[in-house]
Amino acid sequence: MKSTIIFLTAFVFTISVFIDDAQAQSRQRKQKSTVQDILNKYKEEDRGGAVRINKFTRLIPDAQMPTTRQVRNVRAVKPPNSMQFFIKGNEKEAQLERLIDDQIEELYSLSQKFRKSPERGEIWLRLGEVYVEKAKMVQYRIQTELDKKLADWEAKGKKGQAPKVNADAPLVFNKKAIQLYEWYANDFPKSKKLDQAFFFLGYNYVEVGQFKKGTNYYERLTKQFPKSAYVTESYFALGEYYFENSSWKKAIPNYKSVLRDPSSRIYPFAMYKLAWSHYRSGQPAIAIGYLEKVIELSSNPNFAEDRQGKQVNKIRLVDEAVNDLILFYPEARAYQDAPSYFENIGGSEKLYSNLEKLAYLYSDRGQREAARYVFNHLIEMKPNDAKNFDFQNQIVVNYFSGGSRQTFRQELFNWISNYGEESEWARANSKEVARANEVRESTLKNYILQEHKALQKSRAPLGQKLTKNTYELYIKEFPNSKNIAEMRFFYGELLYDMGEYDKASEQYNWVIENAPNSQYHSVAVLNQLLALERSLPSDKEIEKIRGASLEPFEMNKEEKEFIAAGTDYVNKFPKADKVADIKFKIGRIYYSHNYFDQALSSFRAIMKEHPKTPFAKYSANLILDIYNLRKDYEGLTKAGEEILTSPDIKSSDITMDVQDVVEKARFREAQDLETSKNYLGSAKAFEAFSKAYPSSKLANIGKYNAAVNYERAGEISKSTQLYSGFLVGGKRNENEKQRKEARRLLGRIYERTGQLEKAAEEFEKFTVENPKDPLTPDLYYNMAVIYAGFKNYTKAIRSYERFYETSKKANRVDAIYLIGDLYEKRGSLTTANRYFERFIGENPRDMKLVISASYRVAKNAEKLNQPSKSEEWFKKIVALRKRAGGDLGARESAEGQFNFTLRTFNELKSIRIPANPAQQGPAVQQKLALLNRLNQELLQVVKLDVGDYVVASLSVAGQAYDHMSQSIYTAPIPKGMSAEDTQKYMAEVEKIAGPLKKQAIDNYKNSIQKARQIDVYNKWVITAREALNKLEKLDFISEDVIEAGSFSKVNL
Amino acid sequence: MNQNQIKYIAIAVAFLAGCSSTDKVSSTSDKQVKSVNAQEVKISAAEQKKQERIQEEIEKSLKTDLGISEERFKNAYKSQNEDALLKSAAELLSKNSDNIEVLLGLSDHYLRKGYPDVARIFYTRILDKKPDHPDVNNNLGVLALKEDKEAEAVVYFKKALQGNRRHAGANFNLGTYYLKYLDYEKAEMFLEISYNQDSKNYNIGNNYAIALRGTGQLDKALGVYKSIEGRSSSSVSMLNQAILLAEFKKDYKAAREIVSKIRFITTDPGVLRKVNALVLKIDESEKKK
Repeated sequence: MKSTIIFLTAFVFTISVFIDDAQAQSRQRKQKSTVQDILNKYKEEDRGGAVRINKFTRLIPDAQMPTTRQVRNVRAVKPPNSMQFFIKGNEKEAQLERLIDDQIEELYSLSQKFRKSPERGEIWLRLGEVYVEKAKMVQYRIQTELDKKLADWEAKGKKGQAPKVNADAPLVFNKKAIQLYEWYANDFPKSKKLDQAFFFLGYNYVEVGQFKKGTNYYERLTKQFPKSAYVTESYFALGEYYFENSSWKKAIPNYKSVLRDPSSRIYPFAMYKLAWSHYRSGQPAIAIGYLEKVIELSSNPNFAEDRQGKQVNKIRLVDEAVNDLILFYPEARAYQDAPSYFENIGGSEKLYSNLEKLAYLYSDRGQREAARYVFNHLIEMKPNDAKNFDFQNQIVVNYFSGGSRQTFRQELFNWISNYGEESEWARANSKEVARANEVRESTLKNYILQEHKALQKSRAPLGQKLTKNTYELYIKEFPNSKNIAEMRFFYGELLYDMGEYDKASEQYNWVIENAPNSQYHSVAVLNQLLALERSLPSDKEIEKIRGASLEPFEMNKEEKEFIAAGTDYVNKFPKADKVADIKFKIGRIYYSHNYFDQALSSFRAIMKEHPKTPFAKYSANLILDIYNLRKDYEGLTKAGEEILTSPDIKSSDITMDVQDVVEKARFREAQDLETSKNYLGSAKAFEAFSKAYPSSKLANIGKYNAAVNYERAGEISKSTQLYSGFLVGGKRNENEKQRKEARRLLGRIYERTGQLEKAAEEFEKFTVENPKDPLTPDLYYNMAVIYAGFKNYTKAIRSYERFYETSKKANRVDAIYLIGDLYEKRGSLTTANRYFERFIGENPRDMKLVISASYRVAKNAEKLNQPSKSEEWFKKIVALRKRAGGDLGARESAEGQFNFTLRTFNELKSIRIPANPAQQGPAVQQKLALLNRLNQELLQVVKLDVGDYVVASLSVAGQAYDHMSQSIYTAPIPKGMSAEDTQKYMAEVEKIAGPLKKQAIDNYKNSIQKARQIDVYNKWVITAREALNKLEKLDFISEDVIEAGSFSKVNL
Repeated sequence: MNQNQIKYIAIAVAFLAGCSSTDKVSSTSDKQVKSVNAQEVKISAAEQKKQERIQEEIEKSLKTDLGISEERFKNAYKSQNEDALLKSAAELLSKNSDNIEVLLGLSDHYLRKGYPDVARIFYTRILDKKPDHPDVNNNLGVLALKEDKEAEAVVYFKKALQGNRRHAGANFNLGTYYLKYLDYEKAEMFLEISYNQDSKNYNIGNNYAIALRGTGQLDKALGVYKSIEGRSSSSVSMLNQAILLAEFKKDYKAAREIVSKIRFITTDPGVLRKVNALVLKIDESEKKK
């Protein structure tokens, strides 16, 4: 019969907890990896996957279209000062001024001398007039001097402050004149020359800046002396005053009043000023009309001399009028009419120059089309004229800043093409060719660069195409230009931007090969590399070739070239801007082609040499990725830890992630050891993980996995320790499945390793933590068995009860039987019987157990001195045996029946044979009857064929006969018998008792013999042996002492 | 724990061994293992060698550890240091949960502590693996004897002999059983084997000599007594020897010498009582003579 062990026989390994492997999408390789999960957080851009080497956009230098002339602000153009129109004659200013000074001195003396004379007025008028002259002279001199100084100042580059003059110097004389004229007007109010005094007062007050007083005198003059010779001059002066103050509408009537006197020398001049006044008033057509009249007047022979003989500079006035007519023309006339108009006005001789002026004026005014028309007219007039180059240039310049782009490009093309070294124009103007070339090249270059600059921002495809063509034009026209390297470089840039990397590469290559000293050389080297990079296959293309393989595979031509050129570049320009980019790209090519060692070398170099660049971060990610792909988690861990020592990485946003990767890698490393069935290694790795990352979310599960693998590796004590650690650590409600499993396994390990009390404790914890678990009832059972073994009957009984309550199995009722057993062990026989009876009452299926329970009830009742109950249960056993059939319950039935025989035997023994002979017979008969009954009963027991009770029955039968024979032998001899009677009596006794004795001996012998025969010995055999010895009167032999100290041993 | 209960528990063992909980654990494990296999890593030849080397090292280390644990266990068993015994037993069983020596040691430990049912748990574990294990069956027989389950004990002893016909303990126990019931022939047969296994054991010698005397082999019995004489201070065997000399060989003188020796060395009142009775018989016999 087996003893206890209830426990799970198979030692089933539990699988440790694997981090759920996600399909790694990175690189599109199907792989499962915990670390990959984290690495997957990094998108391709975090690994520099999306990184193209950013080509610096080389900024195009500012370019402006050269202009051959300064643009005039037309609206700011003023007519010349009126004084400039008066001819100064051939007088020598210095000599004239001395004469005037002499006159002043003389007239002043006279004025003093005749200061009370009635003629003093004449002297004052004369002196006043001379003072005015003197003031004009001084002003002219000062102005001349200022003009000269300004010219010098400008010639010397306008360094320092602009030159100034004492503008107040003439005013001294104007003021003296005012004093004299005021005296005159006061002393001679009725004088016929009062108009003269008013005129000069007006003039001088205006000169000294007292305009109101001045205009007042002019107005008094025109009103009080309308026929005065000074009235026209006064109107003109008033007109000038208002003109200077931009009061065009007030100026106009005054100028028109001047026109009442056609003979006045200022008549044409007033007309000229009228034209300007109307022009300024927004009446260009009227203005043109007045100018045409001025020009017309120039043909009048009387024109231009005043009463005082002063002449107006006719030529200059006409020139100015014609010039002003050109100025006014665009505002009033159509540009298409200009050639014929100016031919009419100025004649054919001046037509070319006038149209030239007009064309430039149109340019200045931004009237591109008008200018283009007039310039083209000029070019047609003189097809090979040297100026044509500039005219065409001006057209180009005009359109450069606006207008139709098509027209511009057309005119530009014309200009560039028609004025080249081989052009007809060049042949006619050989001296101009060098300059023209320079301007053409410069203009075209600046135009291209300006266009390109705009395109660097807009990247408009059409603009790029046009500019591309223009670059082509430049390269064709100026292949030997000093700027050709620059232009080819930027052409390369444009082509690069347009995605025409091969062509871009050609241009960069030209610069590399032909302009080694150019500032663009190193950039060209880089950009050629970048153009090459653009030709590299995309990651997706590489991926198609690579598939899921991790074996290196061949690179294509471009990739090899890039690596070669890139390596060359970084060696030549180790400090250049894009070195990190290129190193990274090279590393990435290696990486994508599974040349992992080379890639690692590149990435590590980047991290070391360019730690502050984003490539360091990308490299870090890729280093981790490579180790992960290789499933080299040890390497991954080391790499991660190495990365974390980098101060720049440490401070970056990926630190936490790298730490996480390292952590997961170490976890994964342990997992892989497990996968490769290196359980001990795995367990150690998991344990080390938990110690290294105590705050990790995986720390506790690491302990669990370590425990599982230690268990697998046979390191059960370590396993136990870690399961316990796992259960103590972690949070509640976390890893519940594993907690449950750990508890179960821990219990099982304790059981397996002989630590039964601990096992029971763990089972108990499991049942408390998992009351609904299907395993729980079984563990209750196990706990009960262990507690029972350790005689902790209270817990054992409680556990059996919980088993009974929770188990759904049919045999759960057996627990009731076992509780009964425990109470019996405790000596609580009544309680024990209650449980045994309850067990039987629940109709258990196990008949053997039912018989056993019944037997125990019977036996306990016997011990409790409840014979009727005992008998009742023994009878039940007999009934049960019949129901069960076979040998089941035979022994218990035999024992029950045998016990009944003992009662008969005891009854037999209790009958004593009295001394009274009369009563002896009945007593003997009664005893014999009982003996007979006993024999019958024993026979029934023997028939049950249960060895022990067969032997016992024979022995009891022997005792019964022995008792009968002894009873008869020892029956009291009746009193009063003689010796003979006594002898006869004894003979009769012998006749009766002798056979009984013999029968007793036979039964004893049979009992002993049967015992030997069936090899069953019990106390009844001993009884038989002893009784037999006694009956056969064998010598008494001292009792041996048998060493019954049962021999058990443990061979250690 | 009676026979029925033991049987019942055995049924429970079977029922627990096949319980659904275990099945679930097993199936879960299989499932997870499969998922791991799906992404199994190709291990290079070098890696394979490396791992084999590691495994060898581990095994070597384990063997060393095992030796140390065994030593600790034996020492703990001898010194009856329970903590050390349980700890070293756990270490050894963790390596081999069927380590019979350890299980026997533990069961013996718990027998000594008075927890026979705990001992039975370990015995059952052994018998699960080796049903005829002679030591275990013999010990279970002894346990049964202690619980007055003589018939059950005989079954165990016989089963032990099925495992090892020459098992000294089982032969002794069975021989002693027969001796108790005065079946000297059978007793002699088993005790002789036991005696031949361990002729220096005075218990075996004593019982064997009684059996020999029972079968009339007085001289051989005396020879056995002589073989164990002086080897121990067993007053019991000396008493039996004196009985043989006095009552069968009628060598009263020799019997008295032994009796004197017993009186000198024993304090056992039962033995002294029997010695006194024997001396009286010798006296009477000498008087008759």
